[in-house]
Amino acid sequence: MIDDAWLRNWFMEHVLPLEPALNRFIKRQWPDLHDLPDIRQDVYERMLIKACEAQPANVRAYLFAVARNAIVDRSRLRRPAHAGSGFDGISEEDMELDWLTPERFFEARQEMSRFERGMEKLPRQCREVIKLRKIEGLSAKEVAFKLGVGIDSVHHQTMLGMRALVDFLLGGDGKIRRPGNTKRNRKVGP
Amino acid sequence: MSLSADEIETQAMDFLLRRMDDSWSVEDQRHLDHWLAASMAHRAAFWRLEYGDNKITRLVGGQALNERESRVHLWKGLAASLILLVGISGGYFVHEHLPSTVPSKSIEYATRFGGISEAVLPDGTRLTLNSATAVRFEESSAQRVLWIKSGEAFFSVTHDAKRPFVVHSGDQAVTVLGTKFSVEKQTNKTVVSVLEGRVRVSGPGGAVLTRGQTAVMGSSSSLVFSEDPSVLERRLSWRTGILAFSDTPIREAVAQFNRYNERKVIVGDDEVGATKIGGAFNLANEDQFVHILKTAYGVKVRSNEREIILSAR
Repeated sequence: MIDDAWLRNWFMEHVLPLEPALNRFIKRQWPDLHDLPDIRQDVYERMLIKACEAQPANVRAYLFAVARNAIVDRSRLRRPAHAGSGFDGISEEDMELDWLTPERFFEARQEMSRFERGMEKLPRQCREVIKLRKIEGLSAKEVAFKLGVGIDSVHHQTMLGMRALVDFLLGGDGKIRRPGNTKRNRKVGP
Repeated sequence: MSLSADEIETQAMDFLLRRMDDSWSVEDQRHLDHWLAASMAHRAAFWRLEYGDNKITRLVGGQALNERESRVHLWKGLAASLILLVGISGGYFVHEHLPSTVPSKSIEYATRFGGISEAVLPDGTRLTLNSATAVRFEESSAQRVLWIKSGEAFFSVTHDAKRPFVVHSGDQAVTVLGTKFSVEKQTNKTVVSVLEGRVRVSGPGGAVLTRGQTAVMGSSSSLVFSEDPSVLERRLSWRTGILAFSDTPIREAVAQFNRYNERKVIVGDDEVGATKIGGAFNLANEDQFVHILKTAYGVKVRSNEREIILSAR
């Protein structure tokens, strides 16, 4: 019987560090970037469900296999934006290339500079709010007071900034995604 | 699949941010637990954000990870020992070193009380340091050596057949043959647990530990036992900021929490200390832990500024 703590540990230790490689893999097979978060969520969901029964010996290989299946399933539901590309299958080469980049072990210094770059990408006010909340440890109320803005605005800015930063630290592009502006903000599935 | 990833992530982030505020209540926690249990997609989204947030906290903290390089210089003609003071915020270590013929480079890492941090050694080995832990690492062309001065570290050692990786804790030594294991230095003993691979521990006969085995090594005797890997994972869950218990007496759970929190929890009587609990707790949120003991286990709680006292009645 797998318990939640174990599953969470397993996910954080074995799966999430592979996100940069997973992102690249998905982008190559499904060029429409707006679908990336949904596909990734689908993949992670399948990984967790599987891990409850049995943990794959080679997490990386299994992750890509799950990603491939998720994409094939999705292609049956609707055609991708770039109809021309098609799915010729995932070449061994594609998988090999990812093995060569040791993305898993970010050096402490590299991580720090990535973090700094992520912060720089944020809009100014967003960055201010994140600095006050995370670096100075102020509560939302205190930040609102200090900046002279409403607490809702602080929540909003923190939300946008944190999501972009987490995305960037996990290997994404770090762009701010405003809710409701995603191209396909609708229910997916049968 | 119903909601889009964007919507689920928004919900997850909302929970995560509100949980950071002091106003987070047991009711809120129940809502979160319920939402998490509702779907794996929710769990994936939340844990992903927690993972990212942990990284941010760690990088922003800065103080939790301190890296100093100390160079020991050759002093020609000096017979006396050389004492090098290495200052690390919050304390200092006295390092005594006799002049050697070759300058050596060592790197020190330390965490403050309550801090947990990760580091990557020059050889690629990944270290996770628990609260109040200090280690020193040195490498040469023949070997890689790490000393644990205090605390507990988890290792994910890169393979290098030409250079064995040895960990020293007090008088004990652990030679790495495999990959993932933890070493905890306590006052009179060292505890080594192997998650993956094999390690050889010092002592009569030089026992080799494999996955799921733990050795408790004292100065005169050692005890080796096996555990189910999931039990071991639970014990090492501190690496992700969680303390997980299952059928654990309160006195043990409290001892764990006290490693990360300044305000100590005191077990007032034997009855409450022996009461068994289960669950996973954010190790930085002591109030939440105590609150759950109160509401779910009927423990009586008295607290003042310095400590929290638990009793059965």
